[in-house]
Amino acid sequence: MQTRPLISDLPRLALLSLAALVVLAPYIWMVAVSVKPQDEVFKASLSLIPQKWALIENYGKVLKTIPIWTYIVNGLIVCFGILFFQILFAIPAAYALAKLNFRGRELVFGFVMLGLLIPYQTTALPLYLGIHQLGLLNSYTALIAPFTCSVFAIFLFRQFFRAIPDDLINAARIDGMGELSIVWRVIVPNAVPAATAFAIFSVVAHWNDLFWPLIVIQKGNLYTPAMGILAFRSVEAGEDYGALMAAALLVTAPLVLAFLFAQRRFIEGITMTGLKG
Amino acid sequence: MNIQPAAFTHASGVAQAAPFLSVRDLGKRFGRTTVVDRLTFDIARSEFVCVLGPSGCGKTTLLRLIAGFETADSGSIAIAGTDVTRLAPEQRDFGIVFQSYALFPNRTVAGNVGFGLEATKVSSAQRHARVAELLALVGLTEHTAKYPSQLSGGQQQRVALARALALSPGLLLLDEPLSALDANVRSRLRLELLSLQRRVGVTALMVTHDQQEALAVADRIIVMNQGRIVQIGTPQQVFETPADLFVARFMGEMNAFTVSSVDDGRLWAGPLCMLRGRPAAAVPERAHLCIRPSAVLVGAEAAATGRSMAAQVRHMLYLGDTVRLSLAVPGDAGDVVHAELPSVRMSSLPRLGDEIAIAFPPEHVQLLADGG
Repeated sequence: MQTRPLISDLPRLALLSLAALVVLAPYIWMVAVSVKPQDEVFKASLSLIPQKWALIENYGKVLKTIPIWTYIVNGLIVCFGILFFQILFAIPAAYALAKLNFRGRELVFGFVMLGLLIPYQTTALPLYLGIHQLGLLNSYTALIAPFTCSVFAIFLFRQFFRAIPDDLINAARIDGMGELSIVWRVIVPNAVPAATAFAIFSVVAHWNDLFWPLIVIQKGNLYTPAMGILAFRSVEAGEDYGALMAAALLVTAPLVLAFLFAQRRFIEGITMTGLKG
Repeated sequence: MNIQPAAFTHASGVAQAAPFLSVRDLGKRFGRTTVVDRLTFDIARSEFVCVLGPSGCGKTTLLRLIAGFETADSGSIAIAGTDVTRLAPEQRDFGIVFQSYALFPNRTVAGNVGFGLEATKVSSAQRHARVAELLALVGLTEHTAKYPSQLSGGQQQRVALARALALSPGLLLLDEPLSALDANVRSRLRLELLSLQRRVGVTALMVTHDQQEALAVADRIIVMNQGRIVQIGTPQQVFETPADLFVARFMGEMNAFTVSSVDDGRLWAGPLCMLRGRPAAAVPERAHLCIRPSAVLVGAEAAATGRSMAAQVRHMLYLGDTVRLSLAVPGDAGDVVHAELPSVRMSSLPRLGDEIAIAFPPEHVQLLADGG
């Protein structure tokens, strides 16, 4: 791209910075509150920098009172467990729906579309009963299993795979590849951008999910990060917003880092493939 | 009449042995449209055949039927004596090059070429040797470790060619392989493709809509129109003795005039006239007398024949190597004849409105049926 003089770029940069600031304001405020002592949080004067730093106090309280690292590790296990199985199941399904001709394909795809319309709260009760009868309450399986087949993932990948030229798949077929090795060696390497985009949706949704973990988890050592915050607030922190924000910051930090990392991979993924139709 | 002797004449030098590819009564319909209509032809071992036709004539469907990407509704296909009509693509022993290159973007040049070999029992040392050999063959040795996106279109298509040949297939299918390239690269790669095919000795079937390309590389050309084969012959046969006006026009510029009167062994059509050698032979309904613009004599050459007529220059196109003239011939019909002559042979360019002598050598005047 052509580099333009900074001066002509200024209005654009100013506008974008302003928009970024508006979007980031709550998060910045949360960071600020997390280092303020209790009495400064509700002061009338709006100030980001605290007069008296309470960083060690607030974060110390979080680390002392709840096993936050356990919650974060739980969150990672659950999110990546879900993501792993979602991609494992969705890619072959989407490939079949996008590129293979078989009787009833449109009907199956119709069911996928129908699945998109059903909010997951609807199926919570039967799922809960099923998991209860299997004796799987209070387990990682209970947290992961209900989400392993994502119709949204199937739909997203299917749309993406349709853009992959048939000739590419034919070329692999002539070279003696079976359908599974076509999926594994031709489709998957080309699905990186779609997988990254989907990973963002999936991880964000399940990291922040409170509804389902509250239903199937009672034991503290299996709490997910969102549950951890809830527990911290109701049991330990009460009105201590500084400590609460500190806990929230610790819980969202992995997500922010993962997001920044994924964003770079995302752009890389798009520029790397360079598929021409 | 100018009908081809029952079509299947082989190019000189090609053995008349059992055909390598044999297509019989091949038919394919999409819905109610017949795309490929009972095609029958043979291709000899090591022959280079082009399927030529306008877009929508069914030539790509024919290729996809031979490849097995589509299943035939009727007829049969045999490769090297084996009926492959119902076999899956990978069981048919061919390599294919697509117009869109279809290289695996996540694999290097060597990875693309060696892809098919990875699925075989060949040891990795043998595979590397084979890949190196193929890349040397297409002149891409120094690009081995690059990715397709780092190569030009011509280079990508050479990688695709090397990949298609990796498993030493008996048959090489080429689906408009040069159409996506710009003119200079195209004409260079055309020659490379031909010499490669000669060296490897693989039987090749290329689909194209570019008649220059077909004329340049093919041993034989199959001309298709509306799902049917219109003519099969050597480039020379197809160009010089086309089966009908459709083929003639598709292969190049053609002056054509509808036959208006038949008298006593003579046919008349516009300014053209033809003596009928066999008066008994029927003249097809809607027949035309035709002559290539390059066969029309102009100026002194025309006058020397003693049978010239005067024509008025209406338009002139200077094309560098040649000059193309639109000439109005005398008469009420307002017939216009196109002539094309090498510019080096013209001492001076005629001006618009000039009267100029033209003549039609009788040996170049053809009687052609209308065609599609």
